[in-house]
Amino acid sequence: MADTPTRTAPAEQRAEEQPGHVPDVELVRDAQGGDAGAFAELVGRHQRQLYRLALRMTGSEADAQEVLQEAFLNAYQKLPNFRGEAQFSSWLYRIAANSALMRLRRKRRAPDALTDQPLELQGPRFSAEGSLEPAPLSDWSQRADEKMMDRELGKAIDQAVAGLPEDYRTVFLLKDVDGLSNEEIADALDLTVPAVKSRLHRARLALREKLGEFFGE
Amino acid sequence: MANPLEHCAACVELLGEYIDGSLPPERAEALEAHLSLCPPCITFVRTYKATRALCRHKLAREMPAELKISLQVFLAKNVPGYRTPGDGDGEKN
Repeated sequence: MADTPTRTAPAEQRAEEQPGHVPDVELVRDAQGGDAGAFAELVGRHQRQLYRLALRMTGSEADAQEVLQEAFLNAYQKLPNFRGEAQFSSWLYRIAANSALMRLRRKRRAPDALTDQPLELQGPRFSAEGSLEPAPLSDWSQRADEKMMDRELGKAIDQAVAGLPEDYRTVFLLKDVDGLSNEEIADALDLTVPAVKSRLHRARLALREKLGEFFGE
Repeated sequence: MANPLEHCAACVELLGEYIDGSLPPERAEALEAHLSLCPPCITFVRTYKATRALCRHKLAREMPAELKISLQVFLAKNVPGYRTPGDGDGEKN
């Protein structure tokens, strides 16, 4: 069988699995006791993922910067109330996501930035018997490797991703580009894990169709 | 060997969880049995995976160094006793 599920590469081993690593829960306890150095360690540990979350939700570098500052300051101020029922990272993502949502709402004056949008996403078509129709004509995955740096392909990717409904795009970017887990995304965006999986899959199918068009499928 | 999924539509429906490794083993075996009989679905799986790889390559973003600095400056001003740790140690990717 040529295709097997993707596993986490050793290079992506999380810091918490490495020897000598101080778990978040200990740093949180120290920070709650007034150790600002422990809080600084938590900031250093989570700032990259929080930045990605803020960037994907707001779509703007400037907004991401402000969300990040606000989120960490909020987290510091709310730290005495953190009881450890959830993982610290989930709690932090939720604070940052709320901050990003409030910023989006202020900008758009829309009540809900992440709601179900009744948009039809393009996907594969099937015959009445359930077969792919038309069947994929070419395996463009081979050519994709060669075209990684192609400017036209880059433009096609930007357009395809921009064309996704916002809540599908955010889930796709957080999972497939930034590497957050389904659970982390569900916590941050206040979705169920099955809803995350469903949006992710539909987004991938829609993007595959668009890239297939680019490659002349 | 599990009975293969009968239709490509069922195969495509399960593909997300299959690629992520979260599909229950018996469903994964049924999907693989379908793939062994269906070249169009093999092509579909490969292009589905290539879509992820291309997007990741094009759209991945690292946190800019200047933003890290501005965050540290902001927290140093607003959090009593805050001091900047060595950057990168124990940081999540």
